[in-house]
Amino acid sequence: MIFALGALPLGLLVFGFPIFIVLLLASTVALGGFMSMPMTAIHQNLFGSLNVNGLLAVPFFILAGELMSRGTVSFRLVQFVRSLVGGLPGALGVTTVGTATVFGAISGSSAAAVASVGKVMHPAMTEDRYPATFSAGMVTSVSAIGIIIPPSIPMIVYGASSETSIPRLYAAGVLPGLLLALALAVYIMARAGMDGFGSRQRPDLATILSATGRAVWALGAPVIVLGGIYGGVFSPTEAAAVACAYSILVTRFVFAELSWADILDCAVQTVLFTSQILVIVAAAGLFAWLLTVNQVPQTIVAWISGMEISAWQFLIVINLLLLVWGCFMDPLSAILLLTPVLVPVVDALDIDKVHFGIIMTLNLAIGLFTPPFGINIFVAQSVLGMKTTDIYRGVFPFFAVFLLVLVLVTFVPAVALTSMDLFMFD
Amino acid sequence: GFAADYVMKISSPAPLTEVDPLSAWMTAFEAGVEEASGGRIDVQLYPSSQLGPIPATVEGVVMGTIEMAMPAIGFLTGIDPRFQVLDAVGLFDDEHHALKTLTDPKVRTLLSEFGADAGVEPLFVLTSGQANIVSRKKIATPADLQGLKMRTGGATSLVNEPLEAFGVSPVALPLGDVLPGIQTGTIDAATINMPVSVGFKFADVASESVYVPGKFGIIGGIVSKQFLATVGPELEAVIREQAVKANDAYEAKLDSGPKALEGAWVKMGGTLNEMSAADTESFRGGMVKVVEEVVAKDAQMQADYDVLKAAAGEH
Amino acid sequence: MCGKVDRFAQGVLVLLGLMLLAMVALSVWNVVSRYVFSTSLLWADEIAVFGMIVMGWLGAIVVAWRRMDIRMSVVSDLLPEGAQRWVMVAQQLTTVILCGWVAWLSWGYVARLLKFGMTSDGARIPIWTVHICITVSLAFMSLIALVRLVQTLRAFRLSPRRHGARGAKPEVVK
Ligand code: NA
Ligand code: NA
Repeated sequence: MIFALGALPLGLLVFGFPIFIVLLLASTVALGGFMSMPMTAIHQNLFGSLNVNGLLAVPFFILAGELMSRGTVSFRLVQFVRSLVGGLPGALGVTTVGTATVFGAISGSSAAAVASVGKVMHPAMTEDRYPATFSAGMVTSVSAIGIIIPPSIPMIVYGASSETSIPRLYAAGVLPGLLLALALAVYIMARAGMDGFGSRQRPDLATILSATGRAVWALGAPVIVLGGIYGGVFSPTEAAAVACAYSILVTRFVFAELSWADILDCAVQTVLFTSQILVIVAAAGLFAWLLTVNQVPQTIVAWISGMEISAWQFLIVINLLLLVWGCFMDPLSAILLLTPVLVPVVDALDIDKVHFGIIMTLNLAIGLFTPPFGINIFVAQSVLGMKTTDIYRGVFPFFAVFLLVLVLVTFVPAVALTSMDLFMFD
Repeated sequence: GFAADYVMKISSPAPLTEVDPLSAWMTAFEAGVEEASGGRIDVQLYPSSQLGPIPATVEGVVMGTIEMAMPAIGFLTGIDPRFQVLDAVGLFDDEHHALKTLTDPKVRTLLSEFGADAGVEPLFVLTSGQANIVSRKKIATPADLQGLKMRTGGATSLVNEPLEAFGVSPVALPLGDVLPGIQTGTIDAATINMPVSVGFKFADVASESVYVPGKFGIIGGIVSKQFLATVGPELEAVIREQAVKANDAYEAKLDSGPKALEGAWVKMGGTLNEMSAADTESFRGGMVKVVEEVVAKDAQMQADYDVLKAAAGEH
Repeated sequence: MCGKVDRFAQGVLVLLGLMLLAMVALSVWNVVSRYVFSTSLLWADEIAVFGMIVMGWLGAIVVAWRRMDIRMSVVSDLLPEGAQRWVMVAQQLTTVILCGWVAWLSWGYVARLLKFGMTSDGARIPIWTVHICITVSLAFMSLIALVRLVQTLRAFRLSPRRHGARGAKPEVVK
């Protein structure tokens, strides 16, 4: 069983087997060879893991990103942000962090953010002489902010299975999310300053005004999406569809830069990207289901709680467990699997469940871009057309920055709890 | 353990708690079956949708990958539309009345036919609390429902038309989106139940709550017939006996459970509004009238409804 | 033959692209109708999710045909080309057997859904019509890998220095 669910997939993975085949083969071998379970579980989970409402935002946001970057919408947005922060070292990198943060406030899905932010920012940074691995690592990792800044699908799932208030979790995510953005921006500025890449332009009022003027329609996209969600006009998933419709409207009619054929072509590209990712999500769901029915999470947690440790020791152990777990599993499945077994221990140690929810989300956000199974890496590979090894190398320093923030948020509960008190409107 | 001959995985979307009657059913059933089968059946409980989203677990029972699932009745209409009739408002006065009716031999016989075409049968049909509406604005009379965008929790006429008769516009939203939906105003209200209201801490954003007279959450605990055949007649009998026995543990929490939830609801800042007797009567009567119109459109549903109604009248 | 298949694959993609645009339209329409007419389509989300599932699985056939599947190439890039060729054979053979077998299992599942007449909870459409795209997708993945396998093995025989010889370039099929 350990062979089927552990050694076999790792072996095939490094030999370049498609990820989908690796996961499917491991699950099939485990089911057929080691378990008394009907083989119908395979099809059932391949279907069931995709039959989830929240996943709809993925193709919709990828399409919106495709439409915006095919036309000039994204370019105008970038020019606008750049006119404001252009004086800083690493201005485009800081712009990327800013865009990812805004995107995070729009969407609960990180994969979609990598696609749209990566599509726009990576070429712009390459043109501005950023090292390709550095900017690839950046777009792959910074988009993970999206599941810490509300709205966040993983937090909804955590709230539901731990009986924690979702608005409180959302509120508690704001400061840690902004803290992350700040830490990443500082790191990027330092790197750009030391290694001397990226251009700087002193911001002046005339440039800002003209960039703003050219970006008015483009700025409508985040305004409509954010206003629509927080104004109660539509749900986050519907917001993704509205973003597509708005992009079509602007690129086709206002700027008249895309023909209907171009729009269809954007849709076709989106189908390809989405398919690459969805089959992996499906097979990963099957894999996660097998871990559950083999009671793997229960076994691990029983082992941890048998160690009789204090709250802060527990948090260290849990952070390590979640970091490793996140390397192999998407946040949603991980939260579904681990929350019910962890929460009793958390309660017993008197750790705040909102605080713990933020720790868990932050850990699994890191898992989004750590090898081998980080979905953001797959998306970046597909969108940027780069080698996995180069993306791994690029991601590493950003991983360190995330880790720093994770340690801070874990051992200074005040960060999450102050955020909760500050942003709990009502 | 590893010595068991059979594993019976039970999936439930709800978390396992101390106060909830259905949780009590699950733990009593687990202990009962494991003991009475002499350890030959290992019952494994998977609360909180650990085995996947509800539709996938229902399919899992039909296909034999999960032995039992406990979804709300709305998720069973895909395998047999006859389950719909259990959503009829006004059949039961309270949960004790519902328990007596749903375990009545005539009703058990009727229910045991449900799902037969898909190779499943309900091992039990029980209530999961009285339905309540949560909202930001106080709802204390049926007239307060006029014009509300409400998540009703189902797509069938039997769920929606009785509320539409009072001016509600039904909206479909997955359960996870309901709370943020009310917070931002995408919807004005939601029909849910107390375990969900308390579990998700709805009081943070929608502190007004009112029970819907005569409307209960109905849970169908479906098992695969194939599984019952596989374990053999002796163990099948054990499973059926223990399912009936577990009803005692369920019944024991039927008063304390909802009371505890109401207390928790008020403690977290929620308000529990009460409709006047006259309003309750007109609300319930108005919904039942629509229910009977909907039921009359379908001969099979009418026949099933008549059996349920007759049994409810006897208890 | 490859030209024809390419055109067919492009046709499938265009159809799926149109479907995606229709899904966007349906979701937007649901928002509008909720605000303007105070009614919403209770089955819209379900249909959109089914659309996404169909799109994902059928699109994956084209992904496989165009060799766009996501993989990690850490170790295999470092191997000598002869060994890479053997890895390719192993991959294609695995894919032929695995996807073929799972497609067969999946067909059994779909057949049972068909027999039980299961419908979706919202729109009440027969659910097998959505499930079968998984069967079709896996069957095509197996078939595509089979074609590739035959081509790889042929290239082995044609290559002047035989199996595993250094410097023998694996044939690029496309
Ligand atoms: Na977010
Ligand atoms: Na057990």
